[in-house]
Amino acid sequence: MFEWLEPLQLFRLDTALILTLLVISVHITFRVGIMSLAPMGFAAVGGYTAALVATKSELPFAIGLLAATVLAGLIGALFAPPVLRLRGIYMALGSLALAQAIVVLIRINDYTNGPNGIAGIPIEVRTEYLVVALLVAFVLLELSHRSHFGRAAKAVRLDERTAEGMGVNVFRVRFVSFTAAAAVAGCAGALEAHRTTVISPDQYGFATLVIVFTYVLVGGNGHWAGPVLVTWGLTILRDSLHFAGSNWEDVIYGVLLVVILLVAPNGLSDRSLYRGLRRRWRARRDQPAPDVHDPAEKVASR
Amino acid sequence: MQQTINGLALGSTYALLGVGVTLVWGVLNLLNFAHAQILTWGTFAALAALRLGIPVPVAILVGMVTAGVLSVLIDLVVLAPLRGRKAPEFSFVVATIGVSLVLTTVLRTYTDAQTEAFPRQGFPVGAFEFAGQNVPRLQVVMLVIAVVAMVGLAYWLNRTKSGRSVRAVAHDRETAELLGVNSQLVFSICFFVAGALAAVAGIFVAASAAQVSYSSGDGLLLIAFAVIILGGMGSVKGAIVGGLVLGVVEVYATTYVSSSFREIIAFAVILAMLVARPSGFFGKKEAARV
Amino acid sequence: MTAMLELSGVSKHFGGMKAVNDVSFSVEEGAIYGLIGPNGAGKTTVVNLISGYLKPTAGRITLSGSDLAGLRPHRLAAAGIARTYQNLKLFDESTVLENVLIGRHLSFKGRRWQLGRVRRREEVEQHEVARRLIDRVGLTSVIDVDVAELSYGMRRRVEIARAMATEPRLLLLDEPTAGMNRAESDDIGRLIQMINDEGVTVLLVDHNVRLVTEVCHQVVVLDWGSVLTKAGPHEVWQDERVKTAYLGVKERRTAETVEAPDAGR
Repeated sequence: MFEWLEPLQLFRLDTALILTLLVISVHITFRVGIMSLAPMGFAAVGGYTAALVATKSELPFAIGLLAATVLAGLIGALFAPPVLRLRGIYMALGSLALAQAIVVLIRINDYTNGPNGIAGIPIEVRTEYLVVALLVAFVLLELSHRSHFGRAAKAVRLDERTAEGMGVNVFRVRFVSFTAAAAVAGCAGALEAHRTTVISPDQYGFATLVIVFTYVLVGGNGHWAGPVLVTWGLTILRDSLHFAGSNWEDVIYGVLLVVILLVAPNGLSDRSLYRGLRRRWRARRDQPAPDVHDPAEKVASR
Repeated sequence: MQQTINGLALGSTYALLGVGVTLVWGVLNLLNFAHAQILTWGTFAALAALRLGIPVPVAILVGMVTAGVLSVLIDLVVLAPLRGRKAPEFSFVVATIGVSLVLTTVLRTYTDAQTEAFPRQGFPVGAFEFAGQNVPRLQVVMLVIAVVAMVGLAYWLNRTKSGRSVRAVAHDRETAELLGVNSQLVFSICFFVAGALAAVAGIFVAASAAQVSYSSGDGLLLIAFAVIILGGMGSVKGAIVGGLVLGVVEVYATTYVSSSFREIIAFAVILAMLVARPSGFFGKKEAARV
Repeated sequence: MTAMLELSGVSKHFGGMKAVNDVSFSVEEGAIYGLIGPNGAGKTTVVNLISGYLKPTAGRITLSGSDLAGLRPHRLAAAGIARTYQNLKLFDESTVLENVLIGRHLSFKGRRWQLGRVRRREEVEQHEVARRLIDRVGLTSVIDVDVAELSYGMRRRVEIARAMATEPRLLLLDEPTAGMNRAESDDIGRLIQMINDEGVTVLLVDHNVRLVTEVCHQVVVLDWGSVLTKAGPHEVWQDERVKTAYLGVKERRTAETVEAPDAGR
């Protein structure tokens, strides 16, 4: 179906699609207010699980993918209780420590071939699979967004204690989100391993994390489409600008991230950014604003 | 006993790192993820100075000043505007991660990702006997410098006007400002000191290992965080104790358990402390957990 | 009359400070009780204790006889306790409807991933319930407006609608009329009575004397963390101790300033 694209373009497309999955993983945690730096750790779990299954056993790719996703999810579930109890900077540190610990364990281990990584992973991933996987993810995300769980997630992000007072089981909402995000990140890692055929511990560091965070922060917390569209838009932009080598891309991304944070510390989906615009828009169309100063109906006594 | 001394020597490096980080945290409530790169840049600056034939003590100063200035610049260009916009805490973390990425990439490109040799001449070499143990001179000097730095810091914070301003801002920024303290100046001073201390640690590590590369500092970042979590975030005393303890623990663990455990120690410490006692041994009990 | 809510010997100490000290009272089922007292008397602390935000240092709190000890706020909400907040805690970046829908969270029976007609029907039903609640507090015209753009009085009403959305048996209102004028507080008073008529027991914390007197069946007075007295809404103001608690401080202070000029010498 995608044969008309050149191999390099196809590779870039697949990479972008897999990156989208990672962005989705981070989005799932951000929308509940969990500011975790752990995603790359879970991607590493997924990537290495799939790679090991593929190179050290005869099991089919699907099994490896499943194992990767499940294992990443399990590790997420295992570490969720202690990590989720933390807030703010402590959560950032704890999640970072978890991710780095995973990467270091991989790096010092002989079974995982240490710092040399694993090569020769068979290519099993076709673009069609990725598209299907993403479509499924989108459907699930939208269903979740429109459900009471999605509303509860937003409430938890905005004001945990009040959400709890309204009956939301805050711990469960965060636990489910953290675990699901871990599983999705693991899946992305596995898919990447089977597409790039080579993995090593060093690729799970800050570089990709920064890129993914940029996309999610720019896209905002309002709706999953934000980060996804930003991912696609910026990826196309990046490719069409033909940067020489990855070095300066990293610098640009670092700078871009910082600039975005300065302009919109709460992300681009923060409604307050647009309030001024909305008022001007309404004025231009001569639309009266809803009357917010005098209650239209008083509380009728019956 | 030998191991304990080695541990203390290693720990004094960690302590120097931790003190700088805890100073910034205590005053600004910020963990600077770019700290490792600042350290590395300072070390490279010292290397450049050494290559120009500049004597060791001056070269160290060059490194310290470079790291200090870089640190202050990062604050002024990136962090101060964020503060002005009352950005949420997480944006600061991400912003410093972004800065760290930029610094890493620039340095990596500039050095072509090569590991450079770091000259040892001019640094204390060899070892001397003490109570039957082999005590490497370099580590002792590091320890001494660390102690001097800490004493100096303690004196500064407790007995000088500028030091008191720092403590005032750490305690309550608004009131301090109302009393006429220039909080931005205080922040800049803290960033400078933190950077300078980190550079010292980095230079001595490089001299001890006889080499340095763009990624030398990366492993030290989490160690610095582990130190301050152990000792209590915001406590200088805690950073010193935490650093020394961590150094000793690491040396013993790698000797008696496995050498590959080296890097794991820091993470294990962080995770364990966050679970058991997030405020550390000397820190104030903030709302770290729910 | 059965007691809906009962506090026995409840204390809350923060280090050396006794915010609430050996407080005991019960709220009859179906009644509107007022909880009053000067600022700092511990009223909001009591509300926080009842709604699970704080754990008592000592004592027991029961709802229809069941001990509420150690239950987290979301379990208490499920048990039928809802509250509003002194400092108004509406969800930002959300409309009136979205805020009230959070209150419906507990009544969603379907599982998260349930697809198809069952789910859609439940969503529609819950939206309807929310709309009705918003209608009852008179905010239908602003139902899709971001709460940040609403006036203070309207925001208070959104909070009440949201609390009512949880279908509580006991509603705790923490200073719902703070900063309101006469007409607005009368509106809230009518709303409270309407809620009570439907069978919801109400515990009202407020400084508005007129509101408390008109609406409450019984009034509990708190001062310095302890219960001063419990009486009917008219009798309670005749009590000397209550008068001193609210007004006596001013008299004491006046006496002090007369003496102060001599103190320095």
